[in-house]
Amino acid sequence: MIIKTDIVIIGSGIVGSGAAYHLARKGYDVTVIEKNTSIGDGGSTRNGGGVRQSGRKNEELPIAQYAVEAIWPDLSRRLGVDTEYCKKGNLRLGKTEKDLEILSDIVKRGKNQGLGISMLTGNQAREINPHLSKDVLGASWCPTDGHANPLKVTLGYYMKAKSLGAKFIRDEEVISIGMAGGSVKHVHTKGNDYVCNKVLISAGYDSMKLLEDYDIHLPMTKIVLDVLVTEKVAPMFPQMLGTAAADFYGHQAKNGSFIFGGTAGISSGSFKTMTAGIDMTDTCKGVVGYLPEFEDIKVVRTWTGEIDVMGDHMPVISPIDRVPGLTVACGFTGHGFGIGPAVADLVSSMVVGMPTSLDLKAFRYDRF
Amino acid sequence: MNERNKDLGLYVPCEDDQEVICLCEGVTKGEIREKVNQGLMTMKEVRKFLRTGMGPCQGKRCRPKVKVIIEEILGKPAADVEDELIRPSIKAEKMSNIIQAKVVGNLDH
Repeated sequence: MIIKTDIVIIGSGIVGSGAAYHLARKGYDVTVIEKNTSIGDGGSTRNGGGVRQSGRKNEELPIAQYAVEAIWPDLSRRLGVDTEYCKKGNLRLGKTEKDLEILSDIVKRGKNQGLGISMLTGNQAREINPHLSKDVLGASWCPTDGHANPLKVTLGYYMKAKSLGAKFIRDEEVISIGMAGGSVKHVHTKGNDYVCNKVLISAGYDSMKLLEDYDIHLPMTKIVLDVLVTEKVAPMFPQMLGTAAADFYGHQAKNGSFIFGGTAGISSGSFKTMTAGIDMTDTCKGVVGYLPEFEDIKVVRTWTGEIDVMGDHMPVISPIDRVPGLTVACGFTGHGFGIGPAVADLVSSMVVGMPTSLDLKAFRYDRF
Repeated sequence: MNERNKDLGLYVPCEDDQEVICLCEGVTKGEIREKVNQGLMTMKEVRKFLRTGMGPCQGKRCRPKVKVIIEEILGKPAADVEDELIRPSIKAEKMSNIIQAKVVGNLDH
């Protein structure tokens, strides 16, 4: 069947659903095509919920700052959903001299770019978070970082976009993207030909496949992310925590559960990813090593997601020169959620050929 | 899944909206119905947004009920809404015990 629409968005994660929201708001006829039955079922609803500027690469920091200053504070109101955004800071912890060197470097790089971030002693860190172990020797502290609920944000964008008239097609996988008259014109699925003027690919790891027809080969791989959820406990601390040694990260969600993550290695390639219990043991060890009281807190659930890793650990957010009208946003490498709302906003301008409020040249597809 | 691609129209309040479906998280029939009308049309989406089945019983009580509510609104025949992956019935375990004896099971989100 031939279906006419202004703009096709491939993938319904935070970027796809978010861009659909911005474009529908501006009056465009948008169709989002999702290969799965459920909306946003990839990394957008399977992540630790960090909204962080600290520790970003120099190129990515401006997007994170834009997200924290311009988008996150007003997002709940705009979507009509409680995003559980909590801007109470990020402590990145260190227990060894080597850890402190890593943290000093993060602080220095952030300061050079004008980010409000400082280095704390162990005691200063314990003043902010009295639950920290005496083993913590120091921490980086960025008071404007925070966390939010990825499930509420991603599905919130989807429901808002839908209410503004964006169409969402589930259970349809895009097979190819076609051109006519020198620009993008067709998006083919098994049963349908979507005839359109603009296309955004925001399909995570699967984005790579769609670009190969145009001889564009993005250096992407997949990694498995493991997360554990604890029982609900009384409010303990509002900060997002991470470590220089990357042995755990996490925060307490609004409902009282703690969400703690770690990584588990390269994906086997199968879609049904499962946590390997042994890795969550390591995450528990990590947590208890910095927060001794957690010995007695129970784990009620674990879950897993895959993240799309770009070769240089930075996303591709770019128009595709040889296919005018085609834009891609993918490869967020496990730190896409916090900047997701900003990317959705920026890319919605890029898709329709409007200038973006930040320079995104560093994220071009042809940098490799 | 054409039922999910069509507009379901506005949610109309019902008499039994106050009935609690998920006891662990205190989610009512009315809240679920309203969100299905707004677009949350799979078990997974309802769970992720409203937390049905995320409490201590992990959905043992509410899963079949949520399924029927979605089916009623979508107009699908019974059993046509996809089942969720059923979680193994692991017992909540203290971190100290997990560290000693690897007890966490293999669970999808």
